[in-house]
Amino acid sequence: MSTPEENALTIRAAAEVFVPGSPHDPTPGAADVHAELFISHYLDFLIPGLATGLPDLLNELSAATFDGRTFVDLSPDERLTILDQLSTHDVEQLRELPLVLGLLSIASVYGEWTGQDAEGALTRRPLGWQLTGFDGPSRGRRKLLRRPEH
Amino acid sequence: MATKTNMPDVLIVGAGGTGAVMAKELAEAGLGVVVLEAGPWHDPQREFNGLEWDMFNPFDSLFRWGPLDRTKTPWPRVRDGIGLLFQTPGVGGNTLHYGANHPRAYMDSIETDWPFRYRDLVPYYYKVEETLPVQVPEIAATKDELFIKGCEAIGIGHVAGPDIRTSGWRMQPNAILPIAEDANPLVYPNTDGCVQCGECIVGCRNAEGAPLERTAKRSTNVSYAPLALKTKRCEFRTGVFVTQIVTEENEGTLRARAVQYREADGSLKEQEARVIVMACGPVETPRLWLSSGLPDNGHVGKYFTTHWFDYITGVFPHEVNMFEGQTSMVRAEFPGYGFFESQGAGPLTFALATSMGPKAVTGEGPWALSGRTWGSALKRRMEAYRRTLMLVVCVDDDGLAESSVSLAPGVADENNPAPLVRYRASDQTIRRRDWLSRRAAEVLIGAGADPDSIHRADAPASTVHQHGTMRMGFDPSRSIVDPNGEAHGVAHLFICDTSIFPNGIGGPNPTLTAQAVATMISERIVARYFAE
Repeated sequence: MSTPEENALTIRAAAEVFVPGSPHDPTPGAADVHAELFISHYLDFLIPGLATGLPDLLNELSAATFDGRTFVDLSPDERLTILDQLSTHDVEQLRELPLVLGLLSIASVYGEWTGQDAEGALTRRPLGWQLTGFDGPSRGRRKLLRRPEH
Repeated sequence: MATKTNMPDVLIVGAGGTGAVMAKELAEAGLGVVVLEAGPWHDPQREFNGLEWDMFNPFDSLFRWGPLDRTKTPWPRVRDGIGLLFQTPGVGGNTLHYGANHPRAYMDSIETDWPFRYRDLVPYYYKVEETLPVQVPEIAATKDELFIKGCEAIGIGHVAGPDIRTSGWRMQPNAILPIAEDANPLVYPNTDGCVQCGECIVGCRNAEGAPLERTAKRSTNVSYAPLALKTKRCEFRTGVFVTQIVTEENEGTLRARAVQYREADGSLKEQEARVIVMACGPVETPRLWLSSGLPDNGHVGKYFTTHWFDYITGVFPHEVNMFEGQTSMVRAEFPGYGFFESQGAGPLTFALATSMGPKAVTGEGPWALSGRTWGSALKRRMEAYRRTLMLVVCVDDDGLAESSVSLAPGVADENNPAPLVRYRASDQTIRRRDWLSRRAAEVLIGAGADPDSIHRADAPASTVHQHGTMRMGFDPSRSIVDPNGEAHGVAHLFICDTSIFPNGIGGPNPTLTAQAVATMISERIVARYFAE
């Protein structure tokens, strides 16, 4: 049985497979924004307890495949091997979990969550917009509008 | 025990892309109409915030498919061979979330499989195009100019619309108000129309301060539904979920008599009507049919088509800014294969659409990268976001019996058994998709994209476009509704959504054709059951 801190680190390690940050990539990624908070919230929203159960499952698969090592101890490529194993798991309902993890991991960095306060108000520029140069929502792109005739 | 309420002439299940059209047409014809809609009637000015995650994540967003109370989990759906299911509750349905591209069907696709001729549809096309309205933009954004440049560079010439039988590029017929004039401040009524914000698929809320009916993108919540209300003969009941079509048998004839629906508080009610119209889409219509125990000739839920999208991207040495301008303002038609178009998107949509493909891509072509891109490869592609042009490929996919919607064993929400949505592609569909993807990649290179940057997503099938499952036809043993949209074997019950499409109309975006067919069916309902 893992501690809440260990579970969080396992989910963070999974998120790094999709959007790596320091030290695996030169720009910030999932670990740098503590993506595990965002991901765990939605895992438990979908199925209460999933944010605990999924790390246990990843660790079980890791131990069986890589000589007893935990998921966090694996290299990025080895973690990917485990996620690929999960996507072909004998239990049909588990095969979707890598897709859900991928969606949430990518959203944790390229969605707006990192720019929002607890009430959802956008109070700063999200990391994803900084990484991509996106300007954010607009109430009009003047250069593409028609010129007044007068 | 369900409570009964007063009887309208027509009851419509679903206020999305076609239900709202039907409501307007029937109410204007003088009938009393009630529309039952699972979601709310949104106020775009107040509720839409332009943020991708808040607006359409599949878990708790404004457009997610689930109970009105978004602290509750979404309704479960079982998928097999398909990625994301796009179902949007609310007046407007999936048109809240679409790009508003409104081309007509490819002419030969109607002539081949439909129980009427293309020319029979044309008057209804005109009517919808005038009502929304539909028009081509007179200004192109950078992404669209590059698309045209790429087409011309590889010999794809211009083709005139709106009736398409030959290949070529053309400006996109969009259900979007004319492009607005610049003004200061950029607020209604100083400015009125499309402000080119690039947020069509996020949920249009512009021009800022505009009344509902002047919202630029013509989702049915801002176009047809207000017109239906204006007649004062139409009532929209929102936040209610229809759980059963209630029938009665009289002298060996089955007829629809009422629907049973669940209020937001969980209570069940029954609503009688002289005619009932199902407008719930190709997933929910067969689900409701099967959950109601209506007759199944072995074809209910079969022949599901999705245009199995793909996404081809290329990076340019200069800025493209795909987020500027209407989501798509230009397209290339290839009857017999499908089409592709320019596609704008915010960073999250772009990342998800292009990165979730398989490990090994199918088909060979002029792409340097293909399939899933996770890890540092995704981050490098995202760093080039402002210099990237994305094209979306929509294939003319074959409707197979194995591609279907059925009831999932052992999975249910509070309303009914959950649908099991299964998609399979024929070899011909795969070949057509590979061909279109190669052409799209060539367009990108022709427009000046770095050949080493071309990426093919080979995305899993989704239900952005969805058709079939309750096909229209003459033969009651092989189709579900007749050419008037009325169910074979269940009198007084009609279907008007894209589930009745006998094919995927050749690949083009289905909304205009669906709305034209709904307009046609509304006339048939009046003639059959309400003629003087």
